[in-house]
Amino acid sequence: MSNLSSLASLTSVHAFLASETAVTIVATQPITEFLVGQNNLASSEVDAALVALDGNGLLAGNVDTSLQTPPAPPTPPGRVAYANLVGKGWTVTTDPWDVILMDPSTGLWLLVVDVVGNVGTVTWVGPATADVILADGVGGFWKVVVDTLGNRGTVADAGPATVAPVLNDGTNNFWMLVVDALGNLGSVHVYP
Amino acid sequence: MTCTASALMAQARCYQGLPKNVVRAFGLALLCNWANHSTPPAAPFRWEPEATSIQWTDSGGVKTGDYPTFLATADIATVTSVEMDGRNITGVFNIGSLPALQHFEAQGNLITTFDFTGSNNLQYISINFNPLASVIYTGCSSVTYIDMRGFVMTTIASVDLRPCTALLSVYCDDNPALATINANGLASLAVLTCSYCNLGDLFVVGDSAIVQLWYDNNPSINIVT
Repeated sequence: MSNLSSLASLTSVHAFLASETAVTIVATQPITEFLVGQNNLASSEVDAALVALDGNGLLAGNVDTSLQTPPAPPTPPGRVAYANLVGKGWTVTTDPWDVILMDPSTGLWLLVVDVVGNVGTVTWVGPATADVILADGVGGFWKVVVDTLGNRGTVADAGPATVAPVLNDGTNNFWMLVVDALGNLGSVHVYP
Repeated sequence: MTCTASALMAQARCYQGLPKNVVRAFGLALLCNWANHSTPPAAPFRWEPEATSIQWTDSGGVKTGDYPTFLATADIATVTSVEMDGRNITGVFNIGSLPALQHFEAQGNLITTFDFTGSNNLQYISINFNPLASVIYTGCSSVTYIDMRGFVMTTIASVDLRPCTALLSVYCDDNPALATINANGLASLAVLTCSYCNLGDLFVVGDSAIVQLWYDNNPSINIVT
């Protein structure tokens, strides 16, 4: 357990494999590199770190909290910070939560959560036509996506998977990713 | 007064009115005092094996030679740089007897102990890849850079960096027995790396200028800020 918050000039922390249960930082520190994978951080500590890094307002950093024992994915507050950081050009690596789809060509993530922070399930419902791409079941899920520029977008639930189109990304040119039941990536469509 | 044995006895004989045995005793007392408190001549800088050539820089420029050559030709008072990288050197001694030394490199040798006591003009120390057992930095108040990264053979257990009050960067990685680093009170310290050690305590109290802190793979670390 290390409290680094008094090191006011800190920009780079490397602490892999240090059995850390907490590495405390604050948003006033100019940290752009925070690599604390393979420790024993809890999700709450991961959230706190992501929120602090998001709060420092800096661009194009690198944060890695992955491979914790036990796994410690960020919870909804941390996921918001995660998406904000990605939107600011950061490379963010955490333990995964239930549904994360990655565009193999860009490395960008599609995150699906509902309005109360529960993880949604994305199921394959057929060919990647313009009509039907993603089905969100009955959870009323909100889809959080990032575009090719790293901007974060919010996509409202549009109802059952038979409604076309399911996802509406407005004018931000988001990429939508799909997988089949075997985990194979489907086609990618752009909705202008 | 000239502090030689004959001068001291002459001074004792000045006490004309005293018995000879008292004068003799007084003279012996003065001699003992002189022997106990006079400053011994500084032991010269040297290294082993003495047949190994190193490079140094003094007022005459850059020179190369073995230890006898160094003794015969080096201007000790103006030696500013010593470089002995990768020479299979097994020991280096009395580094502090080089009063003008600013730059010291001894990477990749077989040296277990470095004692920089009194090297108060030394600014740059690079001693990585030696089987370190002990490093002493007493009096190194001008040092800004230390590279003491080890390798699997090191046995050094602790490092006290507090004398290095001008320190900017220190690299202590890969010393698997290193359990304690005391870097308290180093107001200029910007870079401290100590990955792949076995640190218990890392003291960085008051080190508010630290920019880079790397301590990967220290499973028992306790950072004291």
